[in-house]
Amino acid sequence: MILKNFKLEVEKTGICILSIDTENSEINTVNTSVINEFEYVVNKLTNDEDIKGVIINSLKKDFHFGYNLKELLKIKDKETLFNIIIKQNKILRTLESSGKKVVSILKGKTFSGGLEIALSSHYRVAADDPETLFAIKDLNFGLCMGMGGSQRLPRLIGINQTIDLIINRKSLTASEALKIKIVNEIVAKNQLMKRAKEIILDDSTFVQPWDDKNNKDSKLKPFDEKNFGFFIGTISKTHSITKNHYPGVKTFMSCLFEGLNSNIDSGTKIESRNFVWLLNHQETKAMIKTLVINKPRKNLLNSSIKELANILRKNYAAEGIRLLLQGVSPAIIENAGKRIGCSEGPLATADTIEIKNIINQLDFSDANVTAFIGLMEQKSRKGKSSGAGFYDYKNTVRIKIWKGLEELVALSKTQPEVFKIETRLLFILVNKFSSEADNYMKNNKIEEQDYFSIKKCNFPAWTGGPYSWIKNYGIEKFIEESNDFAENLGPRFIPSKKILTLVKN
Amino acid sequence: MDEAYIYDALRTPRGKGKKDGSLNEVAPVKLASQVLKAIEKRNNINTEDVDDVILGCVHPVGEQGADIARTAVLEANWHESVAGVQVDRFCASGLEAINIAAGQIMSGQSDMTIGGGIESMSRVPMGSSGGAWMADPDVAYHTYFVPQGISADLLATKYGYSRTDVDKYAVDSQKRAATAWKEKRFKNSIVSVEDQNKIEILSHDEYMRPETTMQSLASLEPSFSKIGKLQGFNDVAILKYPEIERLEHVHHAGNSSGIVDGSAAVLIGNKEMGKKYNLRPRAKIRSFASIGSEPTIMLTGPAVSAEKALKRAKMDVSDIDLFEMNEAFAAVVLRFMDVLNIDHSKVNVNGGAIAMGHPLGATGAMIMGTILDELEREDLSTGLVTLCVGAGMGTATIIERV
Repeated sequence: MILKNFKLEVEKTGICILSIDTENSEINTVNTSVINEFEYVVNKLTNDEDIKGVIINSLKKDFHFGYNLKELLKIKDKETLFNIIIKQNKILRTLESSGKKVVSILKGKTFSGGLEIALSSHYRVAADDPETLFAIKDLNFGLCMGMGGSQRLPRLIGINQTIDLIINRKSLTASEALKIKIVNEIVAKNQLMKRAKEIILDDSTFVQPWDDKNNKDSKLKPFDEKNFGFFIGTISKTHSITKNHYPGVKTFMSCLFEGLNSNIDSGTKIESRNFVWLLNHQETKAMIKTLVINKPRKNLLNSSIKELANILRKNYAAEGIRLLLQGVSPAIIENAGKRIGCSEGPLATADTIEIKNIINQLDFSDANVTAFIGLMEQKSRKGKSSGAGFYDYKNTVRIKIWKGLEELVALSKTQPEVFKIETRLLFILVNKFSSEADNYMKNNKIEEQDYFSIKKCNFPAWTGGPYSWIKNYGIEKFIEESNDFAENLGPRFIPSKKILTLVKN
Repeated sequence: MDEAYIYDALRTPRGKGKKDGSLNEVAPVKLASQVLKAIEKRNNINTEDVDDVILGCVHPVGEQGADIARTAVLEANWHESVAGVQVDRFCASGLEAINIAAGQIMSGQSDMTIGGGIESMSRVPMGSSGGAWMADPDVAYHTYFVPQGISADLLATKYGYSRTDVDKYAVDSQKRAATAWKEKRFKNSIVSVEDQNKIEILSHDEYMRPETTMQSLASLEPSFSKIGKLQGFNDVAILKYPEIERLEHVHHAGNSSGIVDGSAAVLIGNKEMGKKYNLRPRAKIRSFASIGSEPTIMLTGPAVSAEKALKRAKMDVSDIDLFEMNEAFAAVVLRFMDVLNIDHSKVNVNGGAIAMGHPLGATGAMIMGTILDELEREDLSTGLVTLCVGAGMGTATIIERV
């Protein structure tokens, strides 16, 4: 086989240097052609009696970034995808259990699946360099590990450390990684290869902790007394924060729960099944497309993007006040806002930006809103900075909804279902963004605007941005319902031309 | 269908469920077997006639594991032919055991059975049996799992029970329990726990605080405020109940059930067995029911299960003379009384788990004995026993004196 993604050198000493150099790419990634070559290479070298050990090396600036998600997303058949993931996992498993000592030398970024590959070697030597970084932040785009990392990492550093690293999306420097035993040793960059060769040739043992029958570390079990409270607390905490979005988070916890009560082989299968499920999840797909695949190469933004973010916030807050005046209870309004992924509810947002600052976003249909804001002013309920708004405050800490609101507005006896309020808030955010974005940013492609809506305008990431969200919601359905809203509630819901052209494409 | 008669009901006193509690030195199997022995002795039965011993136990692990019911049968030196099975319906396990035991009689498949329960909370702590409900992320997310204390606070918030309301209920429970003990209303049913030398270890419910007042309760910090906030449980509850702005934490150690150790057993049989041993039936089982309810608020099941049991017995709420509704948390009982429109004077008239404690798997069988004694004392006829149950369930049983 002619290798296009790897370079293989076998030295007389019995050391095999396996250098990764992904074809036509600035970074090392795993795609199907890489997997095929990888399988061939690993089978070859593990069956070669003359080879004592393998050094995994990168010929790029960085070590590795894991799967090529763009390619994986193109694979529509779930079973095909599953078999690919399983294959990659089997290769890593073969490598670590073949009787050859495997050492990886890590420089630059070792991210996502890159770190997972490194974890399947027996020894990891990292470059003493500020650019050496380790992280698995796939939860940022709704994904979770897919090369056995969710099984190897907790078996190496413990379940609680793993949760901290993955859920909190930490980046580790070489010395931080050394401290929690993700790497075994740090050496000067130019000494990496030399040191790796020494390790291969020395007589140190090289059994992975999960293959070591004498290793009965109780840190590993979710049901261990030491871990149980933290584990169920983390489930609750993540559920309360993700609010049923960002499926990778729950999936990650599931991989730990289901996998750690088993062995490494069943554990990686469990992880692979979860990985395939996630890659087919609508939210994950939307996030990967917007945040990874279509990430803009050029950033044409200027400071006016902040103004756009402010406009969105004000319109979000204004919609909350309109809902309140229609009789919707403050709890439902606020919870709806948080449920769609905003950090604060609309009324809390109104307080934060000062209630009167919303007025410049109101239109002719909003006379009652303006009047109400005036009434709030009269009652000295101006917002957070003065310690009194829709909420009561104690030293600028929000306590609870102001009781007096009940006297100013008549709440409906029957309250709407919260998802209806969520939808209305998303509609206002999407329509406002779409009608204003071109005025505030030079990147005008919808994919770019999706990206910057999340990165610069606090648009909820799980949507993949306003246009991705519309596509998943159903473009025609969105337009129809927007027009209904516009007819009943005001012109702010009229869909932009940009949205109307989505139908044609 | 055969009638299932209750011939007897006995229980141990409840020891504080901590290392300094009096029953902490007694292994759970011994607690259970002492009650079985007492049933055998008092009713003078040949244990060979007992078909099955069904014991509720919520944490059947460690020394409560490996079928503690059969183990207790053997430890009590009962005939080897007596089968034993442990059941878990969380807090209603003891009542469920009675229902299953009665069901065996009613269906004609057994002649004499025991329904009871055992829980040594000081030796096998709460949470010992783990569970997918809270620890499997798929399940926990799907069911919006929160600990029961958060559910109790959610119930209080949603239905507007204030700290004063729940504290007032707790003070009443303590007063009623104190009166009951003072007047020796439980004396017919308490089996003192003894050691192997017949030296008494405990003869009374030691958890009670009859001196409790509104003032003394007011100084207690809410138990679930910190965990609710820090571990996100409050937000999970609100995710399920978006009409709630924030949780009011009203429950604390003084208005929630006490953690205690104890065991209980109820002797159930058909008419023939009563005749054989010349036993007077004290009551018959009219009906029983278990139901599932919304698991996050978790504790709304009792009223639903009570209604289901009433319907099966073709009875109305007003046909019931006395109620025992396990005092897991004060708000749960308040809600139960509100839903069924029952006056507090008919409910838990001798106090409940807030005053005396709630030995999880045993409680259902204990309060069955309590209601039976009280029906006899007041010469009333019908009683309904019910408990709220983890993961959103309720179990209820209706008895009638004969």
